[in-house]
Amino acid sequence: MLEKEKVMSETRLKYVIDDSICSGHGRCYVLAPQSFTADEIGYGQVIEKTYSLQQRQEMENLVVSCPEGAISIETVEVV
Amino acid sequence: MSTMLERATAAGIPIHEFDLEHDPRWGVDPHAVWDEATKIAPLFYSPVNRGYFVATDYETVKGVLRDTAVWANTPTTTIFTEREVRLNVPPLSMDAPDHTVYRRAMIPLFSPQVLTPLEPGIYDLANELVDDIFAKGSCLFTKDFSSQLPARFFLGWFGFDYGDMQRMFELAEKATFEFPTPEIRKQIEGEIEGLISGLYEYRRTNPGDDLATAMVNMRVNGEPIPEEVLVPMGTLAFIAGQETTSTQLGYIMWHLARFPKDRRRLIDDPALIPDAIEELMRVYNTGGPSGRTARASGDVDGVQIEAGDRIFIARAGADRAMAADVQLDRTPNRHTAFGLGIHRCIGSHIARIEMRIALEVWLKRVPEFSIPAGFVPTHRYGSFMQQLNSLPLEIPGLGSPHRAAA
Repeated sequence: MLEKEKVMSETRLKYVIDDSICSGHGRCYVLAPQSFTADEIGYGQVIEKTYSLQQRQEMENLVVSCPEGAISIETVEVV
Repeated sequence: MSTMLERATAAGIPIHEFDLEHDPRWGVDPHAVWDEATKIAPLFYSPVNRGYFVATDYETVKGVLRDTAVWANTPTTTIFTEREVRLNVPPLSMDAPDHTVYRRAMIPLFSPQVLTPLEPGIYDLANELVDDIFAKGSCLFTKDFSSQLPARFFLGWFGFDYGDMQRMFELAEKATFEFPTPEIRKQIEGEIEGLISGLYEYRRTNPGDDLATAMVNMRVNGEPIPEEVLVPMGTLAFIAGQETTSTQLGYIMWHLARFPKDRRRLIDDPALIPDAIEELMRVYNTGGPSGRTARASGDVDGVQIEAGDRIFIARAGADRAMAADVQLDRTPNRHTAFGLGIHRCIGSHIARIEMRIALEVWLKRVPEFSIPAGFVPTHRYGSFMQQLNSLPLEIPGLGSPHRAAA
């Protein structure tokens, strides 16, 4: 990989919902409507976007607010 | 086959009498009993009331509620009754795969998106109840407000534009608290089922924008729901739609009457009301469905489980053990008052709306209230929850509330 390409790639964060665990409490899209939405019957859906590493703490506060523990944070390389 | 007691002893968990039937403290200070239970162990065995394990911390409670391969809702029994009473309240009393399709059919009726248009009607009702209290000149909060708001709202939404609302609320209360034997349960269920069948019949010929109309038209696996399932489904909605929110509101107002600083905070900043409701649900978790029966062998915290074993989910204790103090703006707040997993309360979204509107309207119109000197709170514990029996309030400008427990 060229040095130049390395510099341009950035590690960012995103939310992931485990659909097999989500039971539709709806806390995610109530507490963070900018990051989550509801599907047609009220189960949580991730709005596709990424967050900077500095936002991890804020994201973790949301993760622990899910009563089922269905939300996690994954890293993504964004070019 | 070894007994629960033998396996509890073998695993070294405490044996502790946790008596949901006879401990008189349930009537006096139930929260102290919950707090005591959480200090015994995350999991212990109680030999009384025909024997059951008791799960008392969040992780153990969550583990049991998630492990639906081992812990079933069929049969749905209650643990505190004199004799075993089996409840027929689908989809709560169902397991997968039946549960999955029935719940999926029901859940769109209760999803947040469809509930917003109901809000103006709830505001009107809350205001009307406050008007009535001022007109009457005294306030027994449990009787005049917290039981009226959910019952009258829910029965209307369900499709009852006729009938004796007071009797219907009484039936929901009886079905929650007053059935020591299967015979008594059957009698109460019979009366409720008669009302539900009648409502379905009425709504089949007079369809409206209500739950009963939606339920009679509902399809599961492409077929209409058989009447013998549809009627008890309506019974569950009838009970849960009235009694639960009413009971929770009673405890929330009991707190706000005793802690004027918290009340003042919500009056000054009504935007805090939703968070405050979550925190007060955590501290005064009203209990929820009481237990599970094992349908297969398994394991909880190192204890071997066999089919037929019973467990009591002490959610109220587990939630209280998360934090000792009351912090109205607590976030995150992962309480279990609406349950966890596949049987999570389907009505949680509408319950939150009702409680928010109740507090907004009440605190705006009745900012000052207190508990009369000498009032001694009493509680009762039943199949689905614990309840503050009565809450008289003194409101400046109004007469003394009726002291007698309602």
